[in-house]
Amino acid sequence: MKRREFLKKWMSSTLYAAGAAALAYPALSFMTFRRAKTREVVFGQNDQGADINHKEGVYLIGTGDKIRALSAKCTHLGCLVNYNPLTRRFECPCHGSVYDITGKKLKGPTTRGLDELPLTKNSDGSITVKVEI
Amino acid sequence: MNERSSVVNRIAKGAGIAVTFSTAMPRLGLASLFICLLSGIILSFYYRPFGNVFQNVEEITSLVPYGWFFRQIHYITGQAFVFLMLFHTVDHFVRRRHRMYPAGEWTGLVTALIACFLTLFTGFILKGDKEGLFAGTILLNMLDTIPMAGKWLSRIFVGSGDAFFFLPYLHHCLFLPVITAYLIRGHVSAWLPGKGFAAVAFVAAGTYAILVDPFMDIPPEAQAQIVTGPWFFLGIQTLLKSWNPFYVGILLPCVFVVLVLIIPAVSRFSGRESRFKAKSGIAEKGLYWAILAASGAYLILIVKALVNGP
Repeated sequence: MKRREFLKKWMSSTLYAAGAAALAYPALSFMTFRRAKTREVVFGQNDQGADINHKEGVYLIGTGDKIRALSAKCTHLGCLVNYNPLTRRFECPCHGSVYDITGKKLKGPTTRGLDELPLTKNSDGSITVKVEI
Repeated sequence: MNERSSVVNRIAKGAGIAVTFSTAMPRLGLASLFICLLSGIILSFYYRPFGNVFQNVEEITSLVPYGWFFRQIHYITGQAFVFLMLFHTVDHFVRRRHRMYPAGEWTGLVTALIACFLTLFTGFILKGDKEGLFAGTILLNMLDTIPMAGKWLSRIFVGSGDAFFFLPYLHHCLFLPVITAYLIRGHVSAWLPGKGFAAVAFVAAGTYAILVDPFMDIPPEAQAQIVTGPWFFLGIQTLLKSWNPFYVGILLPCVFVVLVLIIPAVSRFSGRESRFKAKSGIAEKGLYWAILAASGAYLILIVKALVNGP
């Protein structure tokens, strides 16, 4: 192949690649855009009977002033953990991660504890927990 | 001539081929694919990937007339197609036919097989039950671990919130079947199943649908002690219990696929009269046995997980 031919081919390939990238970037940005969304989980007074309450992927732990909200999403790969009342631990049914009652990692493949979620105490006694979707 | 061999002969005559293990498998597979596509089109009239997907699937199974039948037919023909395609690929590999065919054809076969497994995986997600929901979440989080491109890739495959099932649905019903059809386009006309193959596939799938009850779907809000993925994912699920998700879920499968893809090139190089002939011959043998050993080890993991749980 002559030098001129090679340069021509190289230039046209580069132009095609640049054109494809110029199209691909906005296309990928469009396809993968997600608006940040939160949903609210409200624990009415009837939902706060026990010291561990579960609703829609949120665990409400403790009573009175020492109340905390933990996400039920396993921090390994996102499965929802089960609460085992016998051992008082949270257990992941997918890959076996185990957390204690405060959400701290005990064993399994996860690298950290369960995420704590912000909560608001309402005047009617209910509790609102905000969860990111 | 006994009855069985006369049936086989009639099928062979109808298809214009000699019926052997190697010729029957892809034709039966293609017949299964056609039935799978037809049943999928029928199911799409009621299936909705939004809202309460689990309830929608349960209605298909227990309320809509013949919904259970078409769901079972769709499930078993999909599984049969992927199984037969896998056997077909293994058959090529074990007989070392990848040496004869152009590298592009081998790449097409392997890519089609990957597309088929992804179609099964998205189908598993679309059940909308606890297993499906968790499978989608695990796929999303595993793709997320890929450096740089993880966020983009995960969002291409799985949606969020109300649209969680929409992207797997789009891939299951549109992109992956189109990719598979494109990759096997050369075979479709050559393998167009004779009536005999289509009849065998339909009778087998129909018998399965009538005799076997659909699997129990776990409601998303129910507590389950163990949640498992699709059968071909069980090995990875077992490894995920102790290894990093990026290595087990992304890197290892990618390395395996690359090894399978490059074997025709290594074979061709070893066939030439070059000073590297001896070395590349050893490399080809090593690669061949490494792929067989890795596949065998993964198969053992799957069987172990099926027997004892992952």
